[in-house]
Amino acid sequence: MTTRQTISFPDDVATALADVPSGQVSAYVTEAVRRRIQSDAARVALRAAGHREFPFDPVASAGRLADAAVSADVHRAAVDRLAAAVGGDREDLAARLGRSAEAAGW
Amino acid sequence: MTRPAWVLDTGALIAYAAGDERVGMVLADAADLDVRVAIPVICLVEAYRELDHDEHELLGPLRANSAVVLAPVEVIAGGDSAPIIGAMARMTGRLGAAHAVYTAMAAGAAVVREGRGLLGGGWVHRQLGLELPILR
Repeated sequence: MTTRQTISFPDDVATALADVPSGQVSAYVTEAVRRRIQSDAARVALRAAGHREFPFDPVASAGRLADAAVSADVHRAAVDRLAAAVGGDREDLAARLGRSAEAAGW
Repeated sequence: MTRPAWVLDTGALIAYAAGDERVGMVLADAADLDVRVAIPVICLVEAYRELDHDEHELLGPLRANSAVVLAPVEVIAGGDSAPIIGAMARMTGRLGAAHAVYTAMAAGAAVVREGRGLLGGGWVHRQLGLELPILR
């Protein structure tokens, strides 16, 4: 079920929406709103657990995510070291890790 | 499902229940970026062990968070994680920490730990020699 509404946007948002194919604007806006609903719901849960208010700032969030990213080189080196630490075969460990991720749906 | 970007260890879960800002920010970031945060099941069990009974309910909203996924100990053929987690725990003394590292390596994710935490004394670097990103 859908509801038709008329809403206004700032110029910068309207410009961005103008680049979206006309038949996909509703889906585009719906996805954006759903993501914001998800963010707001997470904050409700955080407040309920006694956490402070966190500003909605996807740019800063993306920066922190990038800082925490594990590069392929770091990951490869970690697999090498862990295999050596536990006395296992490196390729067997890499395969186990891959299958665990696959089983988890990652 | 996208791979988790962060893994919460036992200390991070306990810190979450105490309103720790770093852990809260990770969860807010995950929601804003539509990425996942993994909780290894052994860490979850350890957190319940460490928390007082009346604090258990604080983990409920975390588990219900749509960005959070539980990471089991896989015992599937060819992907049995139990021997590796057990071997790491033998070296470090903590099952939860071992499961957190295994989960992070399976996901290619960073580990979030509480500063005074149960990972204890930087063993990920010192004993295993791993240079994984760790958010303290």
